[in-house]
Amino acid sequence: MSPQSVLSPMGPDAARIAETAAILAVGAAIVMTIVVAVLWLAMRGSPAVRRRLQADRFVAIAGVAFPVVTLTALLAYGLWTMQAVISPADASSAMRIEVVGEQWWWRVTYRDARGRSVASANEIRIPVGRDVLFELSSADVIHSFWVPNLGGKVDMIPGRTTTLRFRSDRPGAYRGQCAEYCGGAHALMALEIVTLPEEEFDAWLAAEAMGAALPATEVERKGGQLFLAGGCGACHAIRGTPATSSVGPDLTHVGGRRFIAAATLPTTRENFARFIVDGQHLKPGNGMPPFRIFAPEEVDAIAAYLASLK
Amino acid sequence: MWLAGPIVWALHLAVVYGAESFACSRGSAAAHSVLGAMATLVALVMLAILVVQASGRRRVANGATFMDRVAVWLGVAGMAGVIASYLPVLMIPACLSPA
Amino acid sequence: MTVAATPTGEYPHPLPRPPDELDRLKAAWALPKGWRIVSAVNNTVIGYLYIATAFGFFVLAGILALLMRTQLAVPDNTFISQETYNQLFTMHGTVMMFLFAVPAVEAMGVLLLPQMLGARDLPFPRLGAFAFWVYLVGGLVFFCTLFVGMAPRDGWFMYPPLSSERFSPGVGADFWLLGIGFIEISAIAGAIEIIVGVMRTRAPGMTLARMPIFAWTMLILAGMIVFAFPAVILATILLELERAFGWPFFIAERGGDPLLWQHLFWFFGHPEVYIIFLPAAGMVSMIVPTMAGTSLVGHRLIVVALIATGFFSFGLWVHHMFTTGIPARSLGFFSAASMAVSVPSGIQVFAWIATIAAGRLRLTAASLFVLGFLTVFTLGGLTGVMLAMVPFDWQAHDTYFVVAHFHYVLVGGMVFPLLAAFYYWAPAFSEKPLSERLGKWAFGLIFTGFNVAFFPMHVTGLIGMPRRVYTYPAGLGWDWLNLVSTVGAFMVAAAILVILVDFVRNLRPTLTDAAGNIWKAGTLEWMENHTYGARSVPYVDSLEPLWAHPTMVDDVHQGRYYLPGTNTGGREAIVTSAVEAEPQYLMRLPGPGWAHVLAAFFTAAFFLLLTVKAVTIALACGALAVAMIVAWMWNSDPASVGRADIGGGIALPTYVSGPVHPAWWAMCVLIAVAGALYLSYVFGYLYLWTVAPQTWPAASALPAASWIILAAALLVASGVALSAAQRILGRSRPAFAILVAIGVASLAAALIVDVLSQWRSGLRPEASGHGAMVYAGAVLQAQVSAAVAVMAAFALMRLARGLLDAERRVVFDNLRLMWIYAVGQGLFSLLLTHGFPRAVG
Repeated sequence: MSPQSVLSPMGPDAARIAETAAILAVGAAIVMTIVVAVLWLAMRGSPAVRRRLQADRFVAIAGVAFPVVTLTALLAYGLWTMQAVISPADASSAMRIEVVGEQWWWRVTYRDARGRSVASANEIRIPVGRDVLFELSSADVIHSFWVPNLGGKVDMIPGRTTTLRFRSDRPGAYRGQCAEYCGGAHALMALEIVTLPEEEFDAWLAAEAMGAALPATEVERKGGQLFLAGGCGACHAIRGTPATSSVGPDLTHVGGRRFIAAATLPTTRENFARFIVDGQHLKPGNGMPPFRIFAPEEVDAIAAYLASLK
Repeated sequence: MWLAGPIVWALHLAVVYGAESFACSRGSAAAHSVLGAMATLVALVMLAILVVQASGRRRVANGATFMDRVAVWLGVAGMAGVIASYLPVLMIPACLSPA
Repeated sequence: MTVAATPTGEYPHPLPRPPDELDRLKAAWALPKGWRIVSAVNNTVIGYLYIATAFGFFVLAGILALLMRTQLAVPDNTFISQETYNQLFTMHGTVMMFLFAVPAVEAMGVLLLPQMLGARDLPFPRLGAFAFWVYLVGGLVFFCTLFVGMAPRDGWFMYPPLSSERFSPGVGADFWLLGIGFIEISAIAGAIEIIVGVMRTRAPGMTLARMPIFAWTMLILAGMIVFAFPAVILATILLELERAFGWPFFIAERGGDPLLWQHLFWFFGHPEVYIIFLPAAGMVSMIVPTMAGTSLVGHRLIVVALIATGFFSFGLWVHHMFTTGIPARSLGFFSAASMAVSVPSGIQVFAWIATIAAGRLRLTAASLFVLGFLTVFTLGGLTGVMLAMVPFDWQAHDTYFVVAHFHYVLVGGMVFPLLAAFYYWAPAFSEKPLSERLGKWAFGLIFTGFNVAFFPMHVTGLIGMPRRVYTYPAGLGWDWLNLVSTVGAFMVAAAILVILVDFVRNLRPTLTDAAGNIWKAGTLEWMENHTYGARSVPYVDSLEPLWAHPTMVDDVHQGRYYLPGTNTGGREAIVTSAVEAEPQYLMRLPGPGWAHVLAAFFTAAFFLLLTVKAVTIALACGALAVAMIVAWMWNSDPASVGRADIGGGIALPTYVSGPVHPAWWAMCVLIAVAGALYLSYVFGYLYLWTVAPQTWPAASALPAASWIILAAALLVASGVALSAAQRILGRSRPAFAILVAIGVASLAAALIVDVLSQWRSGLRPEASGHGAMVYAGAVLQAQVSAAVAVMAAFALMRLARGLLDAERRVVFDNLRLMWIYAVGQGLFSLLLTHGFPRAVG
């Protein structure tokens, strides 16, 4: 299975589109073969065959009647599929998740069972077997939300809220990527959707709604202090600490995500450290200035602290 | 007049698409269905008259006769286009988007 | 005894011809010597330069593509930086579309059309030359921004808000907007030239039924440019106003909408694809019958298909916006149109196949490129049908699948036919034909390389790789597919290298000793291609006159047909009627000159200096450009010298006015351009209203009705003054001058009253989308009013010199058309900006 592929559908909506793609591809291959064969016959066929091919009737049948009939059928099929993909199976049970595209990351807000909002970023967890309705918007330029294993893409446009609904049928981690060129580091604006069994998801969301884990080791504790002292809280929030700004991604549970920097680097202590010092090289133009004020062991402490925020 | 077929198609598209867009941006999907149906009917009737007229016309001049023939086929193409544009109205509910 | 092609069977002129006739003809059409060739206006010379320049940009943009392919060869590559890559793909797309594809097809039209139509030249030679020089200077400067890191980096589609002042500070985006903006003006100038050329300068007897398919495609292409380009010109004007002055057309917080740009851009952008493809299809329709040695099957059906394509292509633009959240039924309309447009292309493909079946296809290099075109383009068309299916597009949109699709359509549908055209038409314009051996090698390389490069991209896209990414991580299955694509790209480059070698070794442009009709083709461009075209202008009674009349080439060369010399001693062209091609007028054409060249340079300087905010020098250059245009127009309306005999008992007037004059047609086309620009604006106004009606004022906040009545009265007064001036023309010069002055002043006053009324009501352009739109309407009205003012001043200058009277009145006719349009647009504007808010408020 490929983690970012139209051809490995992991939900009913993506499956329907993959089926359409297969039908279209086979149809296109057949037509292509016919055209090449007819072209060959026109050049090398017997005089009788070529006499038939040069008649006006041939052009009328092959060039007018055949396309009109097949395209009308295709159009009807396409419209029917479109409606089927859009129309909800059961609109009321859909879970809602708000995603805001920003240069070059994703702001994610869940609503938990009690209607409270839970802030997160760059990794989205959803329950298996349940429709999820994404409410998409943008904070700056146009982005496009796309997780090919689960469904089509929808643009995130300033001033509008667009919607996308899909369902995952199998637990797994599926990669998505911004599909509308959004300047600078567009290539490095990815995300992951992790789908979990319903109970697991509920437990996870309850944990996600809580504040950050307390530092367990001395290094982590020092890292936490440096995080605040270094001014990281001017942009990032870690719930349960004085850091509450929402300029950049919420880091309350950043250590629990599989990737950092919008699915660009695996979540490791080393990668946290690299991003703090050298983020502009790893992801040019991103909103975070390089923090070279810290000594190497201080960077490591902050990295250890962030990695501990499961 | 020779280009009436595609011109009528273009106007018809403008009417059905414009009506749909306007109605959906205002959250009301009622009145414009009638407008779309009317526009389609009018377009098809106009094109049918045009095709019949142009195919009956006989002129001596070479260029004009040629263009009359072209006009007939363009009229037919326009009618096909109008019908194709109306297919989505028949198949898809107004203002449908995922919600 | 041979029989002439004329209806009577008699040759218009007897032999032998007077001994000095040919020398006088040659002298009239002589080219300037040495470096002064820059001042030349002959369509052949301009055509060569035009094509060479376009091909040069093709090579340059291709090199950018190679750089990108090198970067993408392996995952996580660091060969090119993010910033540079973003500039590269922006420039690759922009240069290929605006500096290669459109100019290249227009260039083929400039070079081939007069020869193919049996005309001496295009009807406005200096306009064609002006269009070329603007393009050359502007294009080179635009390309060079890449070397100083000032190139745009927002994609060739320039979507706001990414391209807005906030997210793209600096001059890169301005270079795109102003640079490309005026190259579009060059394209429109070319389109006017082509429309009037095809409609009015065909050889006698070449009715629309006998017009070659290539001419049809150029006519439709030019018509499409007239209606499509204004949409993007309006979009660039609006975005530049937003960037420079903060008018929020595309800023959602203030009642604008980023999607307005997408609608306007793609209303141009999709027809653009067919603007590129149709002429290429036209070339194929010329090459296939020659190489198969038989007439084109389904000629009339192809004409129908071409016209239908031209129209349908305007109904597809939303298929670039299938993922923007537009309601499903609206998507359905455009899905339907997207499928409908493929039917005409299917008709053409099968008509070509039928033609091949009817004859015997000679497998020349040109034929190979045509066969490559047929297969590659067909596949591109089929993936196009796939993308027209909305749900599939939701997945494939903005992935490498789309990259593959449109390269199949554009390279298959335009580059292959263009290369076929080079190999096919070279003998008509070069002392030696191109090498068949090198051509076949080039074809083998490019056909293989192209498919190796682009076929895998279908898969790359479907397994998840989005477009416009400067790098990608390993392990997603994209690695080896990208490597293969890169290898293919270098094979394509090798093919282009082979073709360039062939050009260097064999292409020897000539106007006197061309290799000639080595393919035994049947159309008129295979007669001699001297500076004056052919010696005499034949009567055309079939689609392939050279096949129908084997002696025609000789007869034409000996001067047995119409206009074998020059009547007036200068350059002349026969103007014929639009449908039946009956001779109507002997038009005198201008010779070489410098005014149009300088006008082009100053026009380019005006726009480019504006980009770098050198406003004062820019304005000076703008004024100089206008002065040069006036200088160039000054002797463009020579007085009548009585009737001129072109042979066969036909004596044509040497002065006409009104609809018979080609200038009247050109003016009508120009007004269509202005009208399309204004219609795009009306769409924008209404569109923003549907999106953000809250920024539209209540009736009480609108200017009082008395203002509007005053403005409307001034417009009507302007129209009355015009009509009175028309009546008095030739009777009283002072009265005429006063009426024109009053009329122009009222036109300007109406605009000032309108703007003042809005300003006093408290409306500000930077406050809201509505305000911005109202003042943008004033900008458009100021444009046409300024045009009327300049044309009126020009007319008055000629009046003062005695060059304008009741007979010699083409200058006034043109002014009148523009003036009527300006009054109409002004009245409509009042209705829209004052009436509409009242109607809906």
